Amino acid sequence: MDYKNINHLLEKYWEGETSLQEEETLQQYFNHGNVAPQLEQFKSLFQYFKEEQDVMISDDFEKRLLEQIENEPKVVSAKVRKLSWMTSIRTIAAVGILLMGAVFVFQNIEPEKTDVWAKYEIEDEQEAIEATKAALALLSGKMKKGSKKATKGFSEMKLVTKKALK
Amino acid sequence: MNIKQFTSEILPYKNKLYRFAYRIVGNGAEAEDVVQEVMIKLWKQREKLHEYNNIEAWCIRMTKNLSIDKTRSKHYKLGIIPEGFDISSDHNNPHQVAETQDTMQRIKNMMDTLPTKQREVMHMRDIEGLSYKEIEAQLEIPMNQVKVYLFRARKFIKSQLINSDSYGL
Repeated sequence: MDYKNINHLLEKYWEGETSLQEEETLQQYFNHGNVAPQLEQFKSLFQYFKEEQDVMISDDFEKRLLEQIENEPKVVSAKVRKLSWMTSIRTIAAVGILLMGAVFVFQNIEPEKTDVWAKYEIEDEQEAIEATKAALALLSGKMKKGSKKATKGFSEMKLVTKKALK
Repeated sequence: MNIKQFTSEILPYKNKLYRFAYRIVGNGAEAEDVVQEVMIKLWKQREKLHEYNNIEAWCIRMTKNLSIDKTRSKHYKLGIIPEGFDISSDHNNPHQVAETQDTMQRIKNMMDTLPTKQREVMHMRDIEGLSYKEIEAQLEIPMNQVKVYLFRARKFIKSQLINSDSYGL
């Protein structure tokens, strides 16, 4: 191909407007033909593409890979045991007996009498106040106990820190 | 999928994946490890492979992710000496070999200075010879954006080539 045509293709190439076929023509020109002196500066780029295209994985890659694939430990699938018909009948019979037993047991359980808590409800106002007071007193007593313990803990900690600082 | 189908349908991607990984990890042995890992993963999922409508794109994505993981690993942070380009020296004298190697390294350095997306798109187009549509699927970038990246990348490389030439490099 002459210089003019190639130069035109090259301009299209830089603009990103060449087809794959035209790009192939350019590669052919720069790698095989006598490159026009004006275009010499672009030769190395197309030579580089050619070099890169020729980069191949090692020849024995495929062999090694296939060997590895063939030697891979087989994935052990969960064995599905085929049940013989005798075993199946036995299983069904066992389940049936269990079910019947369960039904028998449940039918013989007398429903537990539940306590009706409503009957313990306090209706008298005064009694309700007393009950609440007693509950609150119990609560505050417990809380006091807690804070006492905490204070004790703090003073012990102080003592330890003092000792440590000494 | 049996081993025969795997060999005829998946294994042919090996060189493309290798080049793609090589671009990221910059080392032949590491790139090969990545491709091997991708292939083994595919094999392990062989029963599900028909569910993917674009296995090649899936391979590229996995190669990319694994390659990036490799570069992040401790081993890499300690620094690896990248391998040189394997240029056949059958017909050239040592001086020419050195010169060609130098030129190739120069272009490689230019490519390396490109932003990642631009470099990936240029690699896919100019080295792998993929269509815009294929690049769109494999890199998950909209086609318009693919064209923009390619345009920018080529523009940059052109300016670098013209500059270096005018300095007589």
